[in-house]
Order: sequence, then structure tokens, then C-alpha cells
Amino acid sequence: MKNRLRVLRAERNWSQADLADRLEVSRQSVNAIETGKYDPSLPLAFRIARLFSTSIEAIFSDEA
Amino acid sequence: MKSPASRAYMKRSYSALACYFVILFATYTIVDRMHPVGWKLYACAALPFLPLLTTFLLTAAYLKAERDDFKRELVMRCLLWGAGASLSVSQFTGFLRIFGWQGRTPPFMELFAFCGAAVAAKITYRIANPLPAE
Repeated sequence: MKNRLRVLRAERNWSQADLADRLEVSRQSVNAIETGKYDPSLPLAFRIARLFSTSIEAIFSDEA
Repeated sequence: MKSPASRAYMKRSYSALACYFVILFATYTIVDRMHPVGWKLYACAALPFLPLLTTFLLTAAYLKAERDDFKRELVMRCLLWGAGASLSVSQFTGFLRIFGWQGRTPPFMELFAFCGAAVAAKITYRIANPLPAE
């Protein structure tokens, strides 16, 4: 799954650690999601969408 | 950054591990000096398993409490590697024994294989996926 997490984070000038703190997850998790090595669970995807005040579809897109 | 669930888990696990070594040493000393037989020997052999069982229960509680899905998945992956290594050792020696192998393997080899493989899996992941500098 592709995602715009890195772009959205950069727009706000947040580091991975900042984003991890806001999402209450580890920096490892943020990095894994950004690099596409891990797809977040639905609750985490909702938390991310809520944090960036947008929809899940605006952040994550199916590669197929 | 360790999550609160992870910190609590580590603290409790270290306590359980310390209990394991104390009980193991105590039961070893008792059996070595008093040479119990029958159910007393079985009881001595079963005692060190209790802290290990506690560790598994703590792990189950941690997996339930951990809010970080990715970390949870990582722990599951490491545990799977540990279980795989442990069962492989057991399978290997068991197979040899079927055909009359009389050799001896070090005691607690399955346990060491489990811990070693789980730790190796975690280290391998960290090396393969380093965090970029910020």
C-alpha cells in the first residue's frame, strides 16, 4: 500500500519522532509505515487521518 | 522509545527470569544433595517451569496491552522464530533417538534455541531496517 505520510509529515516540519509521539507509537513503526514495509491497522490509520485532519483514502492508496 | 506496556513487560519479565534462575539453582541443589525420587523428583523438575510459564503469560498480557501494532507484530515474529528453532532442535534430536542415537545434548537446549533465535530475529530486523538519522 502506498501512503503520503512522509509528505504530510514534511509539510508540518515534524520529525519521525514527533509524529511517533503524537500517534503514541514507536519511531520504528512510523518509519516502517513510511517505507511501505508495514501497513497500519485500521485503528492506527484512523488515528493518522484524524491527526492530519483528512480521510484515510487521502493518505493511503491501494497499489492495485 | 519504549511504550508503557513494553516497559512494564520488560520489568516483569526480568523479575520472572531472576525467579527462574533462583528456583533452578535451588532445585538443582536439592536434587543433587538429597537425591529425591518419585513424585518429589517430578515436583523438583516441574518447579523451574513455573517462572517460564509466567513469562508466557506476561507475554500474552503484553501482546494484549501493546497499542503499537507494529511492535506487537515484531514481537510475534521473533517469538515465531524462537518457537521454530526450539521445535527444530527437538525434532532433530528426537529423530536421531528413534534410530538409536545415544549421544547427549546439552540440558535446556530447546530453551536456549528459543531465546537465541528470538533475540537473533530482533537483532537481524534492526540491522536490516536501520532508522534514518533525523
